[in-house]
Amino acid sequence: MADEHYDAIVIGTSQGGRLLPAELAKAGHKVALVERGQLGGVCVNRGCTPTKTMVASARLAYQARRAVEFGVRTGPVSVDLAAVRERKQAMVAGARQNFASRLTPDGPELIEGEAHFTGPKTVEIDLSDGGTRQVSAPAIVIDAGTRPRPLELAGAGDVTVLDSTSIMELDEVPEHLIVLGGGYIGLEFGQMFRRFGSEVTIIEMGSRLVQREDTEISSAVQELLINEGITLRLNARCLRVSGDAGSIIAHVDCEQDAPSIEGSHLLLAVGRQPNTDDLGLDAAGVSRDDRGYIVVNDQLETNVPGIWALGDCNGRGAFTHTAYNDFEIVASNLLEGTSRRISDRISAYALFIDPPLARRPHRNGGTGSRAPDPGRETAHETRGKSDRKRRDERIDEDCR
Amino acid sequence: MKIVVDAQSRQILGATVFGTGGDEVIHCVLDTMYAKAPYPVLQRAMHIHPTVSELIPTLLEGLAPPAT
Repeated sequence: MADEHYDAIVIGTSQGGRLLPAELAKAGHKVALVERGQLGGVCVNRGCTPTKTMVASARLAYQARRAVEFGVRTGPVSVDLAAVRERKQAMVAGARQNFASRLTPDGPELIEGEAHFTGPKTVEIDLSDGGTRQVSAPAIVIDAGTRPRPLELAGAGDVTVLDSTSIMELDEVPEHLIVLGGGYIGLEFGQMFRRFGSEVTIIEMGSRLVQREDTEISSAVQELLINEGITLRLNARCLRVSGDAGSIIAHVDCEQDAPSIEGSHLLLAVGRQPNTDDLGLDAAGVSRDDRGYIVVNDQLETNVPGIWALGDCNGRGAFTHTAYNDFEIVASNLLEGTSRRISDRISAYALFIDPPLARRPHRNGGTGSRAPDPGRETAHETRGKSDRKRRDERIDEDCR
Repeated sequence: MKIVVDAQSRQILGATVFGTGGDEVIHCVLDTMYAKAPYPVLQRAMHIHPTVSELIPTLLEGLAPPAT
C-alpha cells in the first residue's frame, strides 16, 4: 500500500500523547494518533485514576474503623472488594470516555493498532482489526509509556504472580498478601490491602523502604506501616517462590527471622520498564539507553531530527505531571516557536500512602538548572514534625 | 517535614513533607523555587490557621547547619 502522508504522527495516548495531537490538529495540521491498547495510557487505565480511587476506599475503611475515637458509632467494618473494583472501573471508564469525547471529527485521526518504524519518517501500523497501514510524516512523536517490570524469579511460573495491574482486578480480599519490593508501588498497595483487611508482608532486599528518600523519612514511613499492622522484612532477598493456589511461599535469603514466608497472594512491585522494544526504533535510528529508555535532548527531541519522545518512555520522569510538562514543552516549541526546556522544571513527586509523602528531591538527580554545585553549596536544614493533633482534627475532612 | 536551603544564595534546594496534606503543602515550596525567591519571602508569608501549610513559615525559622 502506498504511504498515507500526515503532518505529524503521535504513537501512544497518555497525558502527553493525548493532548499534543489535539493541539497540532487545532493549529491546522493533519495528525495521526496511533494507540494499540486503551485510550489514555497508564495514568487513566492502570495508574493514577484506578489506584487513587482504591486508596480512597482503603482510607475510608481505615477511618470507619477509627470512627469511635471521634465519637461516631459504626457497625463492624468490612470491605467488599468486588464493589471497590466496580467503583474503580466506573471511574476509569469515565476518564476514558472523557478522553474519547475530545477526539472530535476535526481533531486528530485515531488509528487503533500497533506502530513500528520502517524508517525515520515512516511507520507501519498493524491494525487492531486486521491489516496494516503505512503512514509517513515529517514529525513523529513517541509516547509509548512503561509497563510493570517482570522479575525472573525461580518458581514464578508455578504460582499466580500479581502485578500492579492485575492486583486491581481481584474480587476478594486476600487473606495474606506478600509484596515483593519496598518501593512506591509496593507501599501504596501494601497499605491499601492492609486497610482492606489483608494481612500484609512487605519483602525488601535493601535495609530500608523507599531508599531514594532520606533515612529519617524511610524510618517514619516504616513506623507508620508497622503501626498499621504491616510486617516488614528488610534485608531479605526473595530467592524463589513455591506453592499453589491459595498458598504461596516466598523463600528469602536473610540473616534474621524466618527464611520462608507463606501467604495467599503475591504482588511483584519491582519497578517498571519502557515500552520501546516493539517500536522498530532501530529502523528509524533512534537511540535508547542501556535500560531501554529513548534518549532525548533538553527539548525532548531524539538523536533523529523530527522524532520526539514524551512521557515515561524517555526516562526523564516517570509521572503524569512530567509527561504533561513534556507535552507543554514540545507543543509550545513546535507551535509557538518558544525554546522551553526540561531543565527549566523543578522535579517533584509524591508517594500516595496515607498520609502522603511529597518531595522536591535535593542532591539525588533531577535537580534542574538552578541547583548549585554541590561542592560549593553550604546547605542549611530545618525539620519539624507534622502536627499529629492537626491530623486528627482534620482526618474526617480531607478525604480525597 | 524538612527543608534544605543554600545558606549563601538563600534559595530553597529541596523539601520533604510527610503528613496530612503533604501532597498539597509541597507546592508552596515549589512555587517559591519557581519564583526564584529566597526563603525569607516564604518565611514571612502569613498562612491560614489551622492548616498544615502554616507550619512551613515557622519551620523555616529553625534553619541551621546540618548536624553531622
